Amino acid sequence: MTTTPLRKVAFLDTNVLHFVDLYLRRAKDHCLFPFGGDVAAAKKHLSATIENKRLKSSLNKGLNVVAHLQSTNIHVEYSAVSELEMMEGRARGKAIEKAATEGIPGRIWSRFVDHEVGDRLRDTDLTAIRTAVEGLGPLLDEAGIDAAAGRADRTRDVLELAWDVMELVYMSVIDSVIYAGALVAEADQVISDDGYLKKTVNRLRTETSLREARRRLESRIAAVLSREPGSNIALPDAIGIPGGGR
Amino acid sequence: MPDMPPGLDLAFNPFEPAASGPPLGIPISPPRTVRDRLSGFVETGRHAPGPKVMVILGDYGTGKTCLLRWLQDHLLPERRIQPFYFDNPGVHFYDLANTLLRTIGRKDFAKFIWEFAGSHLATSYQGHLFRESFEEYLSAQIRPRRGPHHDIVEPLQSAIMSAGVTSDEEIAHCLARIVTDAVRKPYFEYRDFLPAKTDSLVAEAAEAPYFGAILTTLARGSGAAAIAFLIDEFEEIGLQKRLTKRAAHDYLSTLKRLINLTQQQDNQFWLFLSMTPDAYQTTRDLEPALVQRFAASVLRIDPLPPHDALTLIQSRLHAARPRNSTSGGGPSTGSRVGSTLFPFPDDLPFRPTTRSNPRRLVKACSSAISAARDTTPLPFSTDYLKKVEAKLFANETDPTPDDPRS
Repeated sequence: MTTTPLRKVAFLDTNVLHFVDLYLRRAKDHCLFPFGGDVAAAKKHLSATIENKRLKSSLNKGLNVVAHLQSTNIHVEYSAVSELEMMEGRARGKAIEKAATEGIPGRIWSRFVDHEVGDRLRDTDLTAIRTAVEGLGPLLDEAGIDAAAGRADRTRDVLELAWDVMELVYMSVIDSVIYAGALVAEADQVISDDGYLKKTVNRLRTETSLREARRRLESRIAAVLSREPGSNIALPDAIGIPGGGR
Repeated sequence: MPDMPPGLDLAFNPFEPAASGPPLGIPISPPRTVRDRLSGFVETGRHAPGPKVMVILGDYGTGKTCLLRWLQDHLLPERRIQPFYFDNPGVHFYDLANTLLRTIGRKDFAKFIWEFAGSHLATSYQGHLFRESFEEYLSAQIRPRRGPHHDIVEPLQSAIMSAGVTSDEEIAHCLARIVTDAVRKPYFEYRDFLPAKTDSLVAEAAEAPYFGAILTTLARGSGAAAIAFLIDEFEEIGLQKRLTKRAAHDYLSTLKRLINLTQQQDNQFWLFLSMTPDAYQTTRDLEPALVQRFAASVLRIDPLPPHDALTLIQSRLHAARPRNSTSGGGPSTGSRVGSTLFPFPDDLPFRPTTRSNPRRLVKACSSAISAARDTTPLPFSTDYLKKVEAKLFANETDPTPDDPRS
């Protein structure tokens, strides 16, 4: 009997999603891989044209992830919460950009809290930010990456499992929702740049001392996904940026 | 649409360029062997136990959609089986429910429920619900209500259960709300069928019995002997990519539920499902036991034999002849108007891969007629048709003798 292999699923955390988004926008503007040319040419371009070290690092990370996803033909999912995080980040960045032109003193920068952000943003700014974030889906599609945000109808399942995860191991709220999203999507791997998240996901999957926690989590996943009792539930493993982000 | 060159002896081009489904206004006539097989299956299935599932298996362009449409328009209605056609539905239950009920329309479905429930009253106090017409009932709901909302839903819920549509209170409640909320929202939305959402019309974790209740309502409300779903390839399985674990589970769950329904519904539910051989193999690889349940009722569509290819073209041309046509009916002349195949030559010199695939054949004929001008020699020459084919299927080469396509 032949076996049709199932397609693997990679779940991206917020930072990785941001790196991918950052890189693909640049790649599209400059006709770089995957829109034109190969990975080596793209690396050469980034090395030659980007001076800012942090920006260069982020772009390289995005390139490495895109190359990995393309070469493995993996299905990609990410949490809607990651999109919201990206929106918040962009909104804050927009406010800082505006504040930068005001010449505000150093003390104010250390107290750049929510109202400092909110007071500088208009609804047109937020609409533009939303449009930019929503543009990621079509951009991934154009890059030939089969990707989707987590389905809205699975939100309740995700939150239920996030509770279960938080009961077993410590994670931040956002990370627990992202990890639960990966569990509901039955992802094979979580791609993350966050050392603690990666470590915790892999510990849950393999560490002997967490055997009982693992068993309970697998049982809860089966119940939430309406699988038959005794179904084989495999927890995802977590990997970092392929190629180390260089 | 440009006028037909008069020499073609055609009022319109009876071959559609996209060839993605049955032609408009031209009767579909499947090959006799296929018609007999389908008729035999339906006749036997009406009286015999077992799943009423038939899988129509064929590559793209072999005529699966046309067969389903023929079932929809002819065979099934003739046997009082109400058909519902689904074009590439998603694999989730609510994709089917959404398509089904939005096709019927909320008001019409609400009326089905209301009228059927009204004929089975458990207690006399419910009588006032059904003295009026359905439209009067709906109008009455617009007036300010004196009691809480559930005063309206609860009696209808009880009547639905009394009518034997379902014995489950939650399902009956959901069906009752379809009626009572029809005033506020006289249409269905996709979110109505997502379980666990606020105001969802789907009972949670009860998709199969809920679907069964809908089918019962439809069958009894329409006076049909049975309901049939004609599913033209599930979307995920039809795509040329491997399924994820989650998608595979969702697909198999839905398929299993549908097959179970064909056995549980007291001869009231049939399933006709088209798929490619690849999709069938994938389904078998994923769950062999499930496929075993309907393996005996697989109708494989073979490449079109030469005689059937001629019949297909003849029937299309016949439907497009002008009233004063001199083509058709008489003996073949091969080179003049009068042949049933005119403006095509009797030997139909297309590639074997074109002649044996209905979609390719229709596309080639469509292009040949569209490209014809007043000066085009008639009937179409071999050279002309070869050029049409070459342009249409530019990326392909003619098959070698060893090629299975020949």
